[in-house]
Amino acid sequence: METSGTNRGADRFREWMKFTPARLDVGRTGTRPLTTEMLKFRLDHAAAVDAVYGEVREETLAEFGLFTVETQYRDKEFYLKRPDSGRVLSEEGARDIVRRCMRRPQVQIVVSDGLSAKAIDDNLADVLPALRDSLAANGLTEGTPFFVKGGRVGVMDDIGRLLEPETLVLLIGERPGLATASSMSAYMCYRPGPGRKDSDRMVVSNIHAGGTPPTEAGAHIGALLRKMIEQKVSGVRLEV
Amino acid sequence: MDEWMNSVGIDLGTSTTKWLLSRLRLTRTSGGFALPRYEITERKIEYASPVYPTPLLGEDRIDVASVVALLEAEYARAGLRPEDVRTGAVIVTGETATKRNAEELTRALARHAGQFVVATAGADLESMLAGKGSGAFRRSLETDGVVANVDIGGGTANTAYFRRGALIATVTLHIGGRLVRLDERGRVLYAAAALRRWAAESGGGVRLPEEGTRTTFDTLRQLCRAMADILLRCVSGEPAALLAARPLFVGVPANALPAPDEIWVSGGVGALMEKSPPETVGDTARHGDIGPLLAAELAKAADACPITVRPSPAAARATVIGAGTQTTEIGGATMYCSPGVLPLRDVPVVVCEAPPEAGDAAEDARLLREAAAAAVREGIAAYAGAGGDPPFALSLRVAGYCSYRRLQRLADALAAAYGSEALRATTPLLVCESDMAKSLGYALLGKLGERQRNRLVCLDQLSPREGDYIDVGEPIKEEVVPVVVKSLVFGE
Repeated sequence: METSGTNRGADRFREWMKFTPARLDVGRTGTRPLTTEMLKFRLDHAAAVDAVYGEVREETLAEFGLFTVETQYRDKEFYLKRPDSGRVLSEEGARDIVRRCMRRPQVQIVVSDGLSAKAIDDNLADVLPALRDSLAANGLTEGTPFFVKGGRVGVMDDIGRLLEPETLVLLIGERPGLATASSMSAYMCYRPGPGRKDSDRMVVSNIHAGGTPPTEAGAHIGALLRKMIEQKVSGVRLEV
Repeated sequence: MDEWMNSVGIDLGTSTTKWLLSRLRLTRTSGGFALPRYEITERKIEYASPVYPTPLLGEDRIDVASVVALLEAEYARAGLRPEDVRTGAVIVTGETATKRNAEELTRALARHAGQFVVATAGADLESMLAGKGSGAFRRSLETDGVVANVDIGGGTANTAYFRRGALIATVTLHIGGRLVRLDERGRVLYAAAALRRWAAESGGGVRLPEEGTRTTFDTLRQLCRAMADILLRCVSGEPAALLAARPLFVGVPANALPAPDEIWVSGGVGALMEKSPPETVGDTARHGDIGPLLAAELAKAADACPITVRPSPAAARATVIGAGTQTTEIGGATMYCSPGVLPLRDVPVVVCEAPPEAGDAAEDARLLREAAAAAVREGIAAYAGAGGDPPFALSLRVAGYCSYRRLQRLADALAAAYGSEALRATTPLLVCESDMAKSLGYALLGKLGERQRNRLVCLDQLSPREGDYIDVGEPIKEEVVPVVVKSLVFGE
């Protein structure tokens, strides 16, 4: 029971550490990090780079029957330098979705790699079925889901222009960090289309095993979509 | 954005009764990009009643009609209508004798105490509430040491130990101001049995005057000194004192207690500590008992104690403040709740510990089915006979990451267990420790029978323990419900 003042300080510090995956109390040797920490840092950095340059596995898309369309991103290098290229579908992609998708669905689900293909591989199998349960429980119906390669959040508006869904949810890989490379976001918008602003969209972010729980996120998204449809608005004006 | 709700606390003690009206501020504490999470972020005391003598009929029955009349007058004075009250607690404290008709009291108060008030007691719960109301709990958040709060009323001294906001132990002793009652000439009208046993076992170290005899100031002072001494030494965790005090324990005697860095004192006797000490038998007996003298001796013992002992600034009302402001939690960051089912009251808790995920899916499903079936069987055996609905709440503890596939296996296991004949017409109330209530609720919808599907309530981020009772109030707003977890047992 009796611990010295210093030990109590350390106890408290360890308690705080439980709240963050940040690199705290990693030690040093002289002025340099420890070798193990340095290696761990480089490993995490490599995982982040791999997530950006990686591709979503075919099996992931096949499991949910998602067909693939592309944006005007050309290749990863161009995609990284020109975010606007990921906001517009390629001509072929636009033709494809118009041809293959239900028009004006209540909920349009779109999946995109964004900045982390790994986020989709790791989380889609947990988020998407939970989201579908939630749609059913909230009495909502979905259109034809598909996968967008090289997508940015703004692609929602291009898809909205073409398919005119009542609501659209985009499950997209987040910019990876050193804490996790598999974080996904769910962006939502009521009647997406040209001219929509960030303030019209909602997001549930940090979806991964160590962050926002993927199944609970899926369940919550469905309930949010219902509120958007009830209130005919999304973004900062939605009352939650 | 923030909502406020009214909470009422009522403390019916061995000797005094108080009530309190407070307002609790409900705030969304999670960021806009995260799942919603609400917490109580502020507690304001709006009105505190005077300290009334507890209306009693004879020795051991509460005068229910008088309590109700008192409360009606107090509600009127505070300008409060019963329907404005969202949550709170009635705590019947002190010696068990006064709790004999607590049930009757609960029913009588139900109408006046609003739509959501609980009646409960139990020494450990009292200890915790007093510690939370006295300021000791908050103090423990500011310091690294252990802060103990000892609440000394008429019948018992209830102690709670906090370390950085966590309750780590409780202990209750039969030490209180009303354990010896006197008339103004020093005749002993009553001496509690526990004190008599303690005096008998002390081998002459403690002298307790016989009932019916006249006693002297010196005898009383020595008795109070011995009581104060054993109390502070027990609270300090001194092993020899814990051994000597065995006849005084309420419940199982403790063999070891945490060593506190600070001891706070609350309760009626705590409030008397700063009064000038009585000097005669007549002075002592001004409330008809030894309370003032016990308080004076406690103040002296506190000065001599190697640990800092300080009276709580809210001494007299610590328990009622705790009951009124600290009993309510917010259930469900995200949750599932069938319409029209809430409120649910006094639901006993059965814990279901999910096994760690097995590598093989079929094996995992089998283990989950076994765990759910065993917990539900236990719940039926213990509580189904009582006929309450829900007969019990299942407190689900799922360690580690729960994928959608595992969630389905868990939902299958739960649906199978709840398919039991004894439960088919009841309300399934599931309380999850981790954030999974909404997805689990949705997963269960397709698996439960129709009656259960329409009554399903699934909450999360609460972890009531085996033997606790929980109340779930009506939603304050969509997806936000007040929950009161009534823990009757603390410690291991």
